Amino acid sequence: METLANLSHGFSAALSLDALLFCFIGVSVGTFVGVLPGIGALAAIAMLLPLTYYLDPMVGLIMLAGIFYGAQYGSSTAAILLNIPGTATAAVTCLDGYPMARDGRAGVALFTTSITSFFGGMFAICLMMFFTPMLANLALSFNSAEYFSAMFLGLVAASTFSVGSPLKGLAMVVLGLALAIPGTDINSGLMRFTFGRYEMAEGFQLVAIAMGLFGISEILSTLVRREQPQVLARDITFRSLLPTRDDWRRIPWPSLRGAGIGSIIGALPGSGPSMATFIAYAVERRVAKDPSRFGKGAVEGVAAPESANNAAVQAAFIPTLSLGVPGDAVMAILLGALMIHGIIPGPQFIQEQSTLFWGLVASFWIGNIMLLVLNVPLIGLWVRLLTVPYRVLYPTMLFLICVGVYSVRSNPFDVGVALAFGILGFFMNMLRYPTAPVLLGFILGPLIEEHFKRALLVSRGDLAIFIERPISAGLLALALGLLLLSLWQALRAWRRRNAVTTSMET
Amino acid sequence: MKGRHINWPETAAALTVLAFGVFMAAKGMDYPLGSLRRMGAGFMPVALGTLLALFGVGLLFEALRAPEEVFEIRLRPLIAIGLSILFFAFTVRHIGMIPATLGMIVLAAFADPPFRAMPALLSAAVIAIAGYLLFVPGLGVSLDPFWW
Repeated sequence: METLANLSHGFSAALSLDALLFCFIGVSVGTFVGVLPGIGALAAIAMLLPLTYYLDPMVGLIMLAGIFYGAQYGSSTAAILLNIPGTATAAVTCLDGYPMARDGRAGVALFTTSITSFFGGMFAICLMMFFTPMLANLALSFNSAEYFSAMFLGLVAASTFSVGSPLKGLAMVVLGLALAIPGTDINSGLMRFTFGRYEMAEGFQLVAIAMGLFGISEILSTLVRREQPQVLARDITFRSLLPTRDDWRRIPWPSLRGAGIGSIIGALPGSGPSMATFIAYAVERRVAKDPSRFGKGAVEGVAAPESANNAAVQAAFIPTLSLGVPGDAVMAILLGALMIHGIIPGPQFIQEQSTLFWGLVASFWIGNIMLLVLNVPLIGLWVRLLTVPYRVLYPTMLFLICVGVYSVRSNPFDVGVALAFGILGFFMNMLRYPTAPVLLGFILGPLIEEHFKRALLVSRGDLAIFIERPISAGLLALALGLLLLSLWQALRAWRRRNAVTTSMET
Repeated sequence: MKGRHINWPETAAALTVLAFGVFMAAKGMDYPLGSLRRMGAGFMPVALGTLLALFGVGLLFEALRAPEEVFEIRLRPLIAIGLSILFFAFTVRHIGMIPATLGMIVLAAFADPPFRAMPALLSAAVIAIAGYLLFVPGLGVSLDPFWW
């Protein structure tokens, strides 16, 4: 019952005019960037991050979070109509959504994704309301050794789970940690790696790095590739949205399974919504009576992954807000936004900032309802947005990036830093080096360094402290397991490729 | 045996990681290292730099095994966007936000050919004015619109 009382307290905070307005802005921007294939949720969140300097921490967080889950709603639209995922998570939705659109059932597919997204989100919010405080209570007994191990696990998971070479992911996490070093050392007051520039005394600015890696690099990549996709269906009537009776029968179970899978995977560190959608789709194919329908426009193939990605997005808040350990780059930016206001999430966060936490939870309910309204009756509007040419979009994005970075501390140096990271991010995209782990490392860097030092100060320099405490040892063992697993995978892939090349040579 | 083809972009990236790690570790040596019990300012840079250099070596092995690829990089967008951002950074303090934005957007329009002056100027004006209204009166950011 305490939960209900807290929630109603949260609603009174989230129903204030400011909070409602920025919740609406957040989910609308989220849907907008989700629909447009050229811009991802990360880029949008990075671009609006400077705004949070001028907002109340809760309102700012509500807006940024709204972009994140709003994008999950919008991303399926491009997947269904263009066969291009609006964000990475919608790649799975293409598999059955696009065939549905080719059969003239685009409306049904769009309706299904909105409804199941809503269901998945709601399901995970309920879990979040109970598990976040529980996990936080458990974590009250944590000290620096456990924190270090939890963050270490988070970093290892984030880099080894990412698509492609795990070695690249790991190297990029370390690069992120290294980027956090320039600036004044908190313990000694020594200036490290500033190269005599006073702008570097505070180190790199989070906003500049995030905008560069995710905003500028995305503009560059899109302009260099130059894709102009064809829209499949321009006019979506309300009638065409309605699923048949057969569809209605097929939707509930897949979306429930998707929500369950998404919640579990989303709450694990390092495994974001993309992985949840892939697994949900795979499970659905396995349990289906007739798996051959998949890939040819099966409603289940749209319902399960869409439910899973929204559940995963909401569940990702559980470790972030209870332990202060973000699972992916988006959560890391949200954490960074809180740290800008001097709030460091951890086990005490829910108690000390109870209005903020419950207000945020309440805003998820409100935001998801807004999204349902935005995405079902107004879907035609978003579909028309797909025809907005990129030559109108990218100058606007460029403006938001430059003014946003500059305004943080009225310093043109930061704009230059953002450009440098933009070019770096562009080449990383070309060479398939993941950019998200860099940001995760950068944000967690100072925290992990501090906990590492503090734990060793307590143990008088004895590294055994990390394995003497059972929870810490367990977390480290998990991280080690992940490292070995990815090493084994890399070796296997390597050997297979070698076998192929030798067989070709003989 | 056929001659081996080397994937140059991948190799160059791995070498960059390696070089960055070595540089970090070497520069970190300038600061006091301290001990495990009481770490100095140089401990983390040296540790992370070494780790990064090791990953760089690993990536080098991976890159040498990677199949050859052709990279198509068109320089025009890179140069145009780069110049437009630099223009903004160098001028915003001296000529104010609105002229700096105008210049930035017009330069950025060169990134996506064909360049047409009128639409570029028009969108620059719209973005500069709408952006000014959003940031300065709307959000209370203190930015000078012009140089006076």
